[in-house]
Amino acid sequence: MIKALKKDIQKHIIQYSVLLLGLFINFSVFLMFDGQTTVRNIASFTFGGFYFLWGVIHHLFLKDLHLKIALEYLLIGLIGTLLLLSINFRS
Amino acid sequence: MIRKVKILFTPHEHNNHKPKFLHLSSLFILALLIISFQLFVSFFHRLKPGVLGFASDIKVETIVANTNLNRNKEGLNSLQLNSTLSEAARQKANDMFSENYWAHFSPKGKSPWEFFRSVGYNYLYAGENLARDFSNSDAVVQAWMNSPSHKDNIMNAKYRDIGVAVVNGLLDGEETTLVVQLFGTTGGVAAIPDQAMAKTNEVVLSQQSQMPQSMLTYPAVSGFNLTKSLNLSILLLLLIVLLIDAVFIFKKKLVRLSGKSFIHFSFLAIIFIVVFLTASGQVI
Repeated sequence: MIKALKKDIQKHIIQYSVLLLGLFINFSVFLMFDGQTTVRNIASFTFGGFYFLWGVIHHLFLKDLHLKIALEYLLIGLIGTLLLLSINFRS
Repeated sequence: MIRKVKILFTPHEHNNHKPKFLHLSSLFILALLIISFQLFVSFFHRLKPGVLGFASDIKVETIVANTNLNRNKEGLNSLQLNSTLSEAARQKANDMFSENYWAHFSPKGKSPWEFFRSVGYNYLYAGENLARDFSNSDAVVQAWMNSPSHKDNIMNAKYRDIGVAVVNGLLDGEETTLVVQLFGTTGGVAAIPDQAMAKTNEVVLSQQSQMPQSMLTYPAVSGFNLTKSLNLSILLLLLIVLLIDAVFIFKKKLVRLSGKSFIHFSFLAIIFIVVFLTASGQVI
């Protein structure tokens, strides 16, 4: 399994690097702006939005993009955003 | 029962080789549940004000000491705790509770500088930092230092006095600890007009001698902790199901029309870390 995972990562190294970088930036912004609700709310939206866009583009490259796949990335991204927004709202 | 659990959490021929929990309909319901829970908590705040809240241990003297520590590091003078300014800070905190707002300006348009004037502090320079729901004094000052505009107040060489108030009360139905930090320098002649003051966004905070140094609250439940626990549980469940799904797909060498489980896993793992590391508290 690890071998197959490595192979897939090596095959799409640039795309996975972009994903990692985007998530790392959002991660850093969210934690750096401690107590600043507005910035954190923006970071919550960009977290999910970036993930959805990356998923769509990634599967476009793979030539297997389907509405179901796009919706899956949208919902996972939305759940991530909602969880961050809610914790930020209650902080 | 076991079959139902299997269908819900593992890829199976009866769930189209994808855990029911990861189906689009289930993810949609999960998103709705997260929203519904937050609406319920907000509704509960209004129904039973004071039941939810945040426990804090914030000491005025520590806030002043940490503020001066940061100033001293940059070669700036230490601010003197001014009881008049502390009274202004206390009045500002009480005004936020009585008018139920969380802002520098009240809904009625009352500016921070009016509290300076009401206690007779004739400022030449003035500024205000606000914080709420932090668990301890160090976290409050650190959050201000992480924000450029608040840091500007703390590190402003023009200030001589500081006033701080830590007050507990109900804000939007939730037990809340507000910290008001006011900065100022008396002019002795005439006060600078409001607009010029507003530009500086500086605050002075003073402490009234009869006010307690530390204020503790012990609410029944914290809305923040409740949300954090629930969010971490949801994320943990999703991560476990995604991991099971990824292993099953690999072992059975299934090809299906779906997103990549290990990518979803990575994304949600990062969200898990962020939620886990998020501490309570806001500054404005």
